Amino acid sequence: MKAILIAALAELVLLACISAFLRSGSTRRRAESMLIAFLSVLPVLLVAHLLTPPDLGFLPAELVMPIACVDIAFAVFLYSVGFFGGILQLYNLADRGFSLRILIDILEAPSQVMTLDGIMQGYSADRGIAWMYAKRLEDMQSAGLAKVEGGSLVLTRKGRRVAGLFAWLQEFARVAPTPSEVA
Amino acid sequence: MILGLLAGLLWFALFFAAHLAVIRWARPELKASIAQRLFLAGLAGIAISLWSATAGLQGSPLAHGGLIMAILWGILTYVGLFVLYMPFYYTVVASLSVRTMVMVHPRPDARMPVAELLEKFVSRRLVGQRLVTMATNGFLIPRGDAYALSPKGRLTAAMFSGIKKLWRLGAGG
Repeated sequence: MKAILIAALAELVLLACISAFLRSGSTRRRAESMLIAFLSVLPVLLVAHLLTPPDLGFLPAELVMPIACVDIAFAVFLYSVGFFGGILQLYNLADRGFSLRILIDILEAPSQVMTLDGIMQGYSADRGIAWMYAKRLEDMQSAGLAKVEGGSLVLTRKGRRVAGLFAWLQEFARVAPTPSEVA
Repeated sequence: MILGLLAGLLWFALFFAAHLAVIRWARPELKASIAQRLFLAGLAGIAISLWSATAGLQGSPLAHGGLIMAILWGILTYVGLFVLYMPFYYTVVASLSVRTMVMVHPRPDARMPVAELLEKFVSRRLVGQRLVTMATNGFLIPRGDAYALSPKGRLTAAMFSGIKKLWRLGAGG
């Protein structure tokens, strides 16, 4: 039980730090800064676990994990899940989610009903679908996966490796583009 | 607690294996609903297997903490692994950036004109397909040639709109 309580407290501290950072209005390297915040709170969690008694002074004996290293590992696991599967996912969805943005555009439309053309033109508060795709291309370039040369998108060596891996995974899941789509 | 941890790991391994079979062989329109049922079956499996296991191993260090703690640890382990795995799965099957790279990769010199990419990805067809998927998943309701939010879609949109305002993320998308 100690692992769960300490991981939950560490997650709340992390959430407060990340919320303060995001609300400060900084728009540069947000995900990287969030990862740094995650790694900064991690030692605090470990120290808190090592310095506090196994029963935290109030837990009954049956709720105390008898093997301390398993308890610590479980606390780190829960803390990591809360960040990578929780806060970071929430941020990615809220900031970049394509389908989610369409839902919000329809919610914010005066009639709350939109046609396909209306969605394409009004996407992301009237920026349009072309803006969304240009943003993806920019992100690929800033991540070092691709570059634009002479009006073409060219994958870098890193981009080819990543694309090869995802192509294999898409083949497995049978969602790979068909030859006619690629041609 | 240790028994719960082991049960969580085991049931996630079973879920993962079954999910691989689903994404490989199930019909595309059924994949999401089957995955959801598999996930729920795993939760039930944890509770049922731990109920009998803790009774059989009473007094053993593995069963320390009793049934409730075992189920709590089991479910946290299972759900934790699930929330780490599923975003990766959706990145593989749905990310536009991934789809772009996979499309460019087999071309000579891994190069493709941006104009051609815009034709494929900034298209009525692509957005139309996404709207159909969202309607199939219960987020949108078709109204003639337009779409309205379903109650589930409205709740999701309102929740994330609130998060965007709280974190001052701007329009994004």
